[in-house]
Amino acid sequence: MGKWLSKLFGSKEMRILMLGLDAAGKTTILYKLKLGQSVTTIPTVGFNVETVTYKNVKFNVWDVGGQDKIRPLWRHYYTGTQALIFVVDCADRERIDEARSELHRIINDREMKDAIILVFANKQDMENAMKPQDIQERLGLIKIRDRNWYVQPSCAVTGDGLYEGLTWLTANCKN
Amino acid sequence: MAASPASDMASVRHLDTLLKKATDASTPTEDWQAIMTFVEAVKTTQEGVMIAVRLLLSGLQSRNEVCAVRTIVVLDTCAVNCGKDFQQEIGKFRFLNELIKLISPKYLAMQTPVQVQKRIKTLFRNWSRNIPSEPKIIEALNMLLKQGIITEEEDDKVVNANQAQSPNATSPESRTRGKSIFEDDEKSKHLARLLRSNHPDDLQAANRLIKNMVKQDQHKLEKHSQRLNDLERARNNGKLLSDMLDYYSTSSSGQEKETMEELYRSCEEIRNQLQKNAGEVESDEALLQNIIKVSEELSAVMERYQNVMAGKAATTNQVSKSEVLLTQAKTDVPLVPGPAAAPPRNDLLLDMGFNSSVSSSTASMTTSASPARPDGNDTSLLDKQLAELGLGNLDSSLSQPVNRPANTSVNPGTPISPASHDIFSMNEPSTPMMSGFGTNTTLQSTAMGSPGPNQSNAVFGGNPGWPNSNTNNASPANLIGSMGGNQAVMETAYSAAKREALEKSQQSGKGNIVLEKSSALDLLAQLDTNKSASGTMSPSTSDNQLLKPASPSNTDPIQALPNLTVPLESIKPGQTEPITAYDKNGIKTLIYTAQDAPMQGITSHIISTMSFLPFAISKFVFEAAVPKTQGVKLQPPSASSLAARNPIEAPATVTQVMLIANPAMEKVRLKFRISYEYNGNSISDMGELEWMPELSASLS
Repeated sequence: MGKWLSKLFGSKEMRILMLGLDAAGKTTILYKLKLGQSVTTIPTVGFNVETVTYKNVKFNVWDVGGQDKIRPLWRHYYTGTQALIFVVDCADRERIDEARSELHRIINDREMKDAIILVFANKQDMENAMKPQDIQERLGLIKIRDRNWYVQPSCAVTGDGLYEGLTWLTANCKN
Repeated sequence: MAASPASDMASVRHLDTLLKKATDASTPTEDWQAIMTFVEAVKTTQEGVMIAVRLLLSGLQSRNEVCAVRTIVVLDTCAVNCGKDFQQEIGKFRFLNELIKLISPKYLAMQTPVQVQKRIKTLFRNWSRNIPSEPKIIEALNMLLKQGIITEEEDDKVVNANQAQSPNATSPESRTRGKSIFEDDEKSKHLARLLRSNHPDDLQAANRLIKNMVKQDQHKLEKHSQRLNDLERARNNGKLLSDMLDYYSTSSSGQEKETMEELYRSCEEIRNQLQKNAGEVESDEALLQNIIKVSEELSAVMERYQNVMAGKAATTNQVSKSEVLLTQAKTDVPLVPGPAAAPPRNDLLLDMGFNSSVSSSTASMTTSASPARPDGNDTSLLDKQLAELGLGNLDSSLSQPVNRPANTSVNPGTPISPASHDIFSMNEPSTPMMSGFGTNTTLQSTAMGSPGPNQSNAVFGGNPGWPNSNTNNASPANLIGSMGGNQAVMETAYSAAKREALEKSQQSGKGNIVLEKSSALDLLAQLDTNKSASGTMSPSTSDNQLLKPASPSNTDPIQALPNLTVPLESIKPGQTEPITAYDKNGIKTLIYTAQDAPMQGITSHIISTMSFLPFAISKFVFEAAVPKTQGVKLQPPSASSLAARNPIEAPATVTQVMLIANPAMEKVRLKFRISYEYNGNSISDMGELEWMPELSASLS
């Protein structure tokens, strides 16, 4: 009922799952979006979930801890996810391959088949940060043609690029 | 997989092209895009499943290892994503058999790359869990487990390794730690349920659950590193004490003595800790083996210290024979250290011991009612086992009538066959292996191999009903191995000790709850405690007398053999060239003859086995047998595993002391068996040697 009404009035709801390696900046992104300010975070054990409203769309954002040992739990969040936000620390060249394999594992899961993919190429403020094009390549996204994906450069601390990302989500979400 | 009509040729070609692309070995990593394209095509093409299965099977046999491994990834992805039809197809024996062939030593295992085999084993394990709708997969897995082609532990590791590669997999880290908390099914389900709920409380609960899981994991890791620390400490202290003993003389200063005493005490403390740790280590076979080994070494040093301090031994290195007599009888009785490196066998033994304890403690335990066993049964069973092994005759004890006390006798409630009874008594020599777990009185230098508590778990949880078929499963090696201990003398001694232990355990009510792992372990530990307490030189000896009458004053070398132990370090290599006993498949075994004989009519030898294989092998066991007129005893080997060859290092070597009693001074006729495992494959081979140990050796 509520959904119908909100549809009528043009407000959408989206379930967003935000994943990525530990220390990529997921929690910082979430609270920058939610509170509009940069908070000091500690490694997330478990998850944070917040609702962020932007351009008439209600985003239910699940920010799930990315430490390697709790990655096996990610799959429990897949059901019903409409968009995946995959956050990459662009300054962490050593772990970009690890990020790639995690990303592919996620998007190849049956439950995530219909999710659109937004990659935040985060920490662009860092001097040696990889550029979005590099990220695109290193994550093996270029070869993926049957999925809707987008790489958005971002800097969570300043908030640069975050809303652009959300805009892409609203524009590309299927319903 | 019927032959496709011509009209399907196009689909076959189409899928073939896609599969080739998906398994292309020239890309550095898997091309998931291509893999998913193939998966989609399988689903949309008519007869796609049939065609795909056939193509995948032929891809598995690719000579290109990378290509074959990637085919497995594709296969697994299809199993997950191509729906019921595909699962039904791979759940057929027709398909499963093809996979089995690739990992079965009888078929293609020799040609199949190790990685491919590993992955296939993992598939079986994963599918049996994830595709419960196809019962034949489980059936196949069980068969493979039974045949030892897939082993539990190895497989656990592999499962995780593979998951790192395939979709819906878990963290790559988890592969190093075996099954982690985060893959616990129970918790997983609970978590999934909580996360699906819209209720904030449930979400909070989910968060708490995850936090707890992480905490538990942390705790586990800390425990693990603590155990490693203990191990290191034990090693260092033992080494230090040993070094000090080397330099110790009666003229050493009091301060030195004090330091040694302190060290001794700390060794004692650590040893207790190690025993505790051994009881807690559950799935880490390697660690357990390590703990047992170090604990054993520690015990040896401590024993030496006691001897030196008591002034009993003239030289520090060589403990006099009379002292060793019973300890050795108790500890490494096996003529052939079969149990040394073969955990499953130990299981079996534990199984037996356990069942027997159950029955004897539930029985009314009247010591007076002691129906002596008809020994004919024993002999026939052992003979049979021997015959099966094809080994010669080494049964100096077999035909000796043995008078057994009551507690080992029949429990009116449980049918125990004569055969099982006999095995019970054979089990006794190996019981001390459990000394590492449980009480702390003595950890004798036993536990040569690894009677993993995890394995014994299964056993303890198992059927107390004592299926007789077990006796047939009993490894011949064990039967033979234990025979040394079956000397009448020892027998009585053991039984006496064991009876007391069992009585004790019954008094304390332990007999009733032995089904619980810990209490069963306790029971065994008690048995051991009793034995060692009554046996020998353990510090806490309270009833020394018990076994005293048992010490025979043997002069017959064959009789004396089981009680004799020659420390490796005391052996001086002789001048004669070593004999190459075995040199096949990258394994080379040499037999060196020592310069001096430990006693008249007994020669000591060092068996030294090297591996030149490109992979590590485990559970290496050397077993030997000689004719009746001679005797052989193998002391515990230095290790049971051999590392892979390394061009810049000396080959990995296992050394083992072998004593041969040869009173008639005739040619030694030695039959031996070598067995080992690699990648889940068991290899076993036999050989025969004939030589004159006293003179120059020659191969026959």
